Amino acid sequence: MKISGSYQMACSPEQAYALLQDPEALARCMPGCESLDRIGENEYAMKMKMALAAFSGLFEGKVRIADTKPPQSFRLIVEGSGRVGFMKGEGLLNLSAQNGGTEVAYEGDVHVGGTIAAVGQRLLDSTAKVMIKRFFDKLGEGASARA
Amino acid sequence: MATTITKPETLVGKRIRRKEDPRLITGTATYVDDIQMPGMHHACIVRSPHAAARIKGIHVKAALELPGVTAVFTGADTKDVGPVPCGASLPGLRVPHHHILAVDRVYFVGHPVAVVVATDRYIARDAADRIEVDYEVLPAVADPEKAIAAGAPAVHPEWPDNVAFHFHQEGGEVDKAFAEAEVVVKERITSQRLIPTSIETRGVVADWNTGDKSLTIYSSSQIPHLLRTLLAMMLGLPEHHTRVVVPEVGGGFGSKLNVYAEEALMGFVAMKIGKPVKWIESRRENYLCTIHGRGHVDYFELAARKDGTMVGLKLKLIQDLGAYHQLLTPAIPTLSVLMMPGLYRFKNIRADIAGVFTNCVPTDAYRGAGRPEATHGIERMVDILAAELKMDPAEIRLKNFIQPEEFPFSTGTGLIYDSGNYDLPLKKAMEIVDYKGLRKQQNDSRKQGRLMGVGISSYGEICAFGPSPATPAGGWECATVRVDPQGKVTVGTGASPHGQGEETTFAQIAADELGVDLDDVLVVHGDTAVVPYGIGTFGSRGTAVGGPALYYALQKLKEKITKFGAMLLDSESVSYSGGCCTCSKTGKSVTLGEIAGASYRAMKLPEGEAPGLEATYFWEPPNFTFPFGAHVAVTEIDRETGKVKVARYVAVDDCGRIVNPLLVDGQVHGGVAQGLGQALYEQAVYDDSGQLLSGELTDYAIPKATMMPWIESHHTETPSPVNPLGVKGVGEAGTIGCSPALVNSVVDALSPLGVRHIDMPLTPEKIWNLLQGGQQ
Amino acid sequence: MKKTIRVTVNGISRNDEVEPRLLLIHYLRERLGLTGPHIGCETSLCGACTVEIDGKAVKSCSVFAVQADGRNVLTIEGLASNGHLHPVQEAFWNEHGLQCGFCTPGMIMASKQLLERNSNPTEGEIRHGIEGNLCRCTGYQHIVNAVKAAAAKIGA
Repeated sequence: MKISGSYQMACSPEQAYALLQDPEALARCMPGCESLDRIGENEYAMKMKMALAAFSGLFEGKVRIADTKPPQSFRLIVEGSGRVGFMKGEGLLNLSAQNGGTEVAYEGDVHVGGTIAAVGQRLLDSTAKVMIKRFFDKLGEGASARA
Repeated sequence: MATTITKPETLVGKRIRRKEDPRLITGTATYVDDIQMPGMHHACIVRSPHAAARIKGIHVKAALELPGVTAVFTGADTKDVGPVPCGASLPGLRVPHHHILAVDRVYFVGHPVAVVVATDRYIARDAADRIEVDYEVLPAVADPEKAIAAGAPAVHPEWPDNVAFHFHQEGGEVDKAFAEAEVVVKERITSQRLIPTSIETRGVVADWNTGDKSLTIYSSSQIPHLLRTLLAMMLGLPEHHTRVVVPEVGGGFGSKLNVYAEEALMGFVAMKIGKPVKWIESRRENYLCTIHGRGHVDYFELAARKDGTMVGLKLKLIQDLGAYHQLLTPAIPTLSVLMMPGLYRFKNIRADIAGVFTNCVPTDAYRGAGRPEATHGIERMVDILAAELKMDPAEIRLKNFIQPEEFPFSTGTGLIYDSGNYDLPLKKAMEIVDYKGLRKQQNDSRKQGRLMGVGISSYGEICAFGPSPATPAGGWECATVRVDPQGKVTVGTGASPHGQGEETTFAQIAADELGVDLDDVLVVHGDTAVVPYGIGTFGSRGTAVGGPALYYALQKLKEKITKFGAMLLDSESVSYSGGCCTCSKTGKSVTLGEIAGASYRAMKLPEGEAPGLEATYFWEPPNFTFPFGAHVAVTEIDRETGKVKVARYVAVDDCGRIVNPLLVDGQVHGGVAQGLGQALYEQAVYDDSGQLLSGELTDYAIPKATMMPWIESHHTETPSPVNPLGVKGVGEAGTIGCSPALVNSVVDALSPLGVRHIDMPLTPEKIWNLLQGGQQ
Repeated sequence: MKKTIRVTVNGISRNDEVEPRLLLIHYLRERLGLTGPHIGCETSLCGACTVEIDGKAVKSCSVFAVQADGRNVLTIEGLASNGHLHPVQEAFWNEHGLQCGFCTPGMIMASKQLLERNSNPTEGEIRHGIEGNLCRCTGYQHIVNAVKAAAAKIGA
């Protein structure tokens, strides 16, 4: 499934870029994130609770940040699995200065399997959008605080 | 001596309510999941979430630590259990080794990887969640046409082209027919993957007696004896120490005409733990792991003369097999080829099948099994030809039908149609719907901008499987009739009915032949320790093959009854009827009860006769039977939403002689519901990576009560000469006849917009897009 | 962490200790041996598990046993009285409203409920009333006939 969208942050691209790579901020803002531990350069182990349709479950996986071009862009690679299935996602985030703030545009591909694919596929698109919005909303609060 | 009791009327042909119903309407029937045993354990199966992956490791420790968990088994433990069998053989068929648990690789989402055994259903499920499997995910392919395209991932690495077999069949002079044809129409027609969806999922209880070293398997199956033979083989058991009991079965529709990994797996588990074990398939497992049906992409070419005479047919058939062969997987499309000519006279036929592996659950027999696909194809093609020639679809059919005097008729595909009068049901259906009036109404409604359609399907089917040389596992059936000392009758049949009602229809046949009351006949089935070896119930064969076996067993028994009667009456001029042996000279008679009592007491025996009153008959049918019929659907399309409304549905079916009209109507209604499901609603959808997206009843639309039109069910009766009852079989008729009638009707409705063909299911979205001038 | 429930099933009062997560359908089938209600989907879509709680039809696969605490449960086994079939049962038999019989206990309970709300339903109302119960065998037509016949019998 392809996902794309954009979000306005009330801070400079440099600040936004730093925030998007700050494990503490990410852990705080990712919906359902229970832990995010650094396991290597730009690589984190993640535990995340996710609910989709009638299913909720704990996903364990990895988050990797690649192709870093501060403060313009980086690639985010997420992989996780749990008892209700697995998910893989890869996305490119582009940051650009706009109206005194920063526009974060994202574009990526999400793939799910197992029970969540069989049951929740139709809800996946809207669920992903809601989760991304919540993430940026929360991150945005942090950004405003910093700005 | 008692007075003669005469039974006033015969029961065959009457609408009689079923003998099996009292237990079913009171909740006292026993299905597999209703079985409880002392010490019984519960199994939960861990399945692959990936369509293709290498298994790098399975971590079971956490599961084993959970209190109540008895054992966990993986592919390493079960790899010596015989493979899941494929009963079909075709020249050059590639048969992948189908382990009951994946060994080092998984091939479809839902592939069983491990089994957890626990003292409680809930604990087994909890423990299954604790098992971790490391997968190395591999590329997968889920679409058969993509699977045979260059560069596709190989489902089985040893066969990179993904082709399991090619099959070619040809009759007549195809090239000549096409060269001389005045018109040739071509179309790509698909029959989408369907999920059988019996309301009872599969389930197994396995009970191993460590003392006797005997295994009893209770399974929701259509084929108890074949299952016993094949399970004994898989588990390395002597067959006489293996018993299969098929209790009440909550629907099969072909999906339980199989031998599944889980059946052998539960046998294996029971033998390992020395306790009974139960596994009940969840609905999600049922969708992922029980066979699917159909899965065709067909390229048809139909050649004809300008007057509408059809002269030849070519078919390239791509069959989506899934990742493995289940029991009959590769045989199913060969039935499509046999059925290709439909009811039409032309004999120039060429078919090429490519059986293709995909990373999906295997396809196999689902109600109709190959014949709905063929019928859908030919009946669509006839309409496409009619449209091309601007002929009426009824007229073109009547012009090409095989005529009654041409039977038995040899087809271009090597079959011999037994009997038929194909004009009859079509003309009857046209009369019932007032065909001419409908066409006028259609013209008027078109002027008002409405989209009304009339669709015809004239279908034929191959039923009563079948002569043994033409079937993978023997095509005969067996019956035993036993009269006990009280004179009550028990019929044991090798057929294994699961909703069709043979406990009633067979009792009708036996009661008529023996001249006893319906209540004096009990029909038993499904337990290999109780009834003689039989083949089972599928392919509309229960009454059409099991029925004649019973009929002949009854004749054999009546001979013995008459001998005992003659002895008791001390006369040679006796005959048996109305439940009594009567001497034509003295008028004296003895009842069946008296004869039975004497036969067991055995104070005296007729010369050369043994005590007891029992007869068994194994009947081999000389041919298939070929039921036929005509369905007419009247539809109206909602321009705003694209929704299809079925305004009228008329089914005229000819299934030969009818034993119980009430039950035949029931079979037609249910069959039509499944055909309508395919035509309008149902589709098993896999995404490109092999994930089943229609994995639940939320996403797979079997018809609900509100989605069904009123079905006007009528009959003609053309007896089959193949068996003494004249019956042909009716289980699949509705399904085979329905989908082309509906699609022809909708295409007819949309024909003013230039629409010539639409692939099933005819979802509102698809039709709405067509109405907007787009593609389907 | 077991809970004690007090529940009357088919007129018989019971006290039982159950796990809070135990589904009512499993309680009925496995604890009480009432195997009439069936499990066809575990997601409340098929209706094979339909029973009545305090006179209302519910899908017992989506109700916890603890939710039935203090309530009256009626299953298909409790429908016939003194050996006499309920008119809906009798009508299903007469009209061939079942084939494999798996959906039947739930279908009968749903039909009974429908007739209690609407004693003389039209074909459309019957179809709507049993829409939550799936049958794969009958195409529903004989079920519609059965409900009509039962309505006539009860109304007579």
